[in-house]
Amino acid sequence: MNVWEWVDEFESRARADGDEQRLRLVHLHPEAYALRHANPDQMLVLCEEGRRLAVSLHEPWWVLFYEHWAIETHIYYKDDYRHILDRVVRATLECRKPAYDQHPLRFNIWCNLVAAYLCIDPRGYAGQVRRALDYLESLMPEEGEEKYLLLARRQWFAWELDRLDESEALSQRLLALADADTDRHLALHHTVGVYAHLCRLAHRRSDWDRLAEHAVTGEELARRRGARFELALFLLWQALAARHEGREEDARRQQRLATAQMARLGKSPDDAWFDALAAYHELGDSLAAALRTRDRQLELIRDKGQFDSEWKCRLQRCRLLVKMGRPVDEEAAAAREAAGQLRDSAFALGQLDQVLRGDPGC
Amino acid sequence: VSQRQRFNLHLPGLLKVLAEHLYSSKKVGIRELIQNAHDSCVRRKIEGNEAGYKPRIDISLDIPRRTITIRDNGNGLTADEITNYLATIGRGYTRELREKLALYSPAEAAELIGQFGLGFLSAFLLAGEVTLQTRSLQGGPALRWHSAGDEHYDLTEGERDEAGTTVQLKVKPAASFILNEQTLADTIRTYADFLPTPIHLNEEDEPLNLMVQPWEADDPPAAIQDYIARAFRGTRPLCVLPLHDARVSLGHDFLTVPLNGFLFVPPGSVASVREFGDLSVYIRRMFICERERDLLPPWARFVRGVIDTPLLQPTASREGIHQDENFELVRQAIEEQLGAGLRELARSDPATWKRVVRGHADVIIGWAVSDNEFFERVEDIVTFRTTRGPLSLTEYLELSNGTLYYVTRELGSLQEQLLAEGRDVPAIDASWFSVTPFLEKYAHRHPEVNLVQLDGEAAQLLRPVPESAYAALLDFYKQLGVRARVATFKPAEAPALMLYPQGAELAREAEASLEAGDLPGPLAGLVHEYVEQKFAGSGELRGALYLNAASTLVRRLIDRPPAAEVRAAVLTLLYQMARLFAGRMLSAGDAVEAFRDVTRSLEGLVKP
Repeated sequence: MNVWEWVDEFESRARADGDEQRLRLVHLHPEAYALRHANPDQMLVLCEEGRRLAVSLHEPWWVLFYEHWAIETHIYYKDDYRHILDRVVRATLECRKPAYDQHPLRFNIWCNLVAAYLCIDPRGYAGQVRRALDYLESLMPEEGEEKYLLLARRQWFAWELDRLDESEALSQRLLALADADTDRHLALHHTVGVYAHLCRLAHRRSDWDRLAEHAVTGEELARRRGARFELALFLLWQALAARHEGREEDARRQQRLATAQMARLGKSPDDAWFDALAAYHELGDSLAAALRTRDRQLELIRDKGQFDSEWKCRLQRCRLLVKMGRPVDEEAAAAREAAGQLRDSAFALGQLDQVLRGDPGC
Repeated sequence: VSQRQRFNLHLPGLLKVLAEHLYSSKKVGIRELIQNAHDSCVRRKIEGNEAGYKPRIDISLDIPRRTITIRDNGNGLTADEITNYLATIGRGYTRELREKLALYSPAEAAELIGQFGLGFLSAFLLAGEVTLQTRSLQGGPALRWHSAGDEHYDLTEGERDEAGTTVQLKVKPAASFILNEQTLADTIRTYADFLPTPIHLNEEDEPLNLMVQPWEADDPPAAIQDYIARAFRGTRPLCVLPLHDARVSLGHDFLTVPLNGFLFVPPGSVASVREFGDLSVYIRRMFICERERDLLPPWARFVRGVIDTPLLQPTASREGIHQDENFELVRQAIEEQLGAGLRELARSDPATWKRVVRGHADVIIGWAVSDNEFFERVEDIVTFRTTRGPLSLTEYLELSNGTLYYVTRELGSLQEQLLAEGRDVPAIDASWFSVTPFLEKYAHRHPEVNLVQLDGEAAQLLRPVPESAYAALLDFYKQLGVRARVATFKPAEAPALMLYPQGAELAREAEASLEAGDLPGPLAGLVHEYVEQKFAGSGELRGALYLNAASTLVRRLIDRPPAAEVRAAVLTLLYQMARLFAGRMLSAGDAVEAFRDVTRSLEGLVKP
């Protein structure tokens, strides 16, 4: 039984019993999920309300259900990793208990244990993450959402380790999976995420044709899915592609649309957004605007436990300062300090040295 | 071969799509027919030029015959108009009339509602058969139009003496719910409360709809209060902010956003954290949708309201609005007026502002964490649950001499609360997830304020003392393998406390799970990383026993040491009492062991 079948069955029972409290337990989730992009703080509030209600109704499966969604909110919508390990380890330990053997979110919770390390320091924990992903793959059921979850994390992990070919191959596997899926809603949901990733890959490879193509496809899919965050991202990637092609008016229009769309969301922009926006400004020879973009990014990620993102952002700031011919010592010191928060800072420091030497390949 | 060809239409299919799938609610059929009736009355007013004309719509319900009849005394339709407008999908007379009027008579144009020429089709959401009897003010015979919802209709001579139109719906079984007077009345009120044409149900003398928007009433504040009480189930708002037309900057120019309505803050609920942040939206007095959330800024989750603006563009079904540039302009206008209104409220009526902030504390705390400007506005007003009831941080800091003491665990924090109260300060309940970030932000913005998390950092409430005088006691515990320290703390009545680091329970459970091997190996690896990272080799998880140097009992053990046996029994009792009182990190086995030691010690003390 997948999670939604379980939820539906629970709801039918509650309805038949006229049990308003348990119906509320069911209905809080869609209410919360609808706010994921517009107001993740409120999403968290509703998840917390669901958790407390589940405790008061003595519904341990629902306690775990809402804890899982609170974790999802922290990881994917609030990008706040400060206490994420505490929560995800607690949930992992909880669902090992026999009472949760059949809980339909066990696999998802384990996936999020991996995701938490991917968020915080993917290189530092690469060995453990790889082993955990292999293990989860061995558990993966033939049907259902689990395949998407696992492949998406593998795709993400490969990206973080700069294994771009592998990451793209995983994206293609995800698309094939979605194409064959009879659950079109689920397929669409995950396809949007895959195209967002393909845009990043195309940009990293400077494959401008593919970037433009993926961004247009992604926009269409995001509109169909109502994925407002991704929609803003696809518009921005299109702006970047248009600027590269010299379609300056189009580029500016798309960038304005993207920025207005993003500004309407309560969810903060993520690393992909800032990479795209900084690249857009850089391509327009506005290094100062690119630096301001990174300032804003830093402001958003600082003190949120985003160790990996922080050193990457600082690395980009150093690169821009070097390119602008401005003093870089202070930022380089901050980048070293940020790298020091990683489990193994050698790679990060090596990258920093390359940037400070003005290596354009970095 | 280059050819230019026309699309073909499959009319039955198109009719089915439009009638059955365009709208999400069947009740919309009532709205569309009322609106057609209203537009027909407006048209008669504009084109008829009759002194003393009184528009009116009558709706009647015949449950045995399963019919609903909507009758207006508007302009009526000619045979040509039936062919060109009623029976032509996508073409509406109202839209064309409005476009004609837009330049020379915008006020009259604004009274017209119809837009798409699709609304009449929605009658088939409710009805299997629709019969229309009409006589045009322009002259000509009365006409009868009849359709059973397929691609054909019949037009014959009708029976109606005066100008106007009567639409009769033969309600189909799937829409039987509308054959209930209360449901029909609620539907009419929902959609047409603000429509200026009176609507009478079942020949009642009094119209069912308000006809006047509350902000247009003789006494708008009173009318708005009454309206909120009626439409929002008895809510008595904490404050109401009227909305008005707004000048919005476009960068190079300004634009006036026509805007009517009001926002209000409902009273907070003690038990629930559910909030709103939604609007009921009207366009030209016709209800479009409720619970529209995107027109309010994300932080305004404690605000509700009603707006009417012709600037918004409804979707074809008119059950939602397009999020286009106009939407953004309206959103901006509302945000500016809401922000200004709240600022003014804070300035001119601080007592009400306090009630707003305190009534919605949970949501406001969460919002303030992510919004610096708002944080400044509420940081000294919002109240927190403390061991001495709700207190603002200003009130709290006066009691605590500049330090914020808080507890994050929902349960078992009695010991920490005791420590706080021992220092004569209340403890803040930070079990609500957004309280800790709020307090952290507050402390960050006020460097003179200290922040102490009692569960995990309670040792900060203890004052260290030189331990050499207590060496004998500490040695005893050392031999038992217990980490023991001596400090002074309040209340002096507590001779010993057991303190554990934050997250100790979780780490211990993780360790136990790793030892038992009940987590799959690769996942255990990640959990192991967590434990290592958090408590690398510190041994802190076992906790530390703090003897209170201010306790007369502890001092007596040093100043007038009893016999070794008695001292051992007392020290054992102190340790186990502290463990049990802490209520943390105790397995069932630990508790049994603790009680066994307590009993053995007590037996030693009372033996003859």
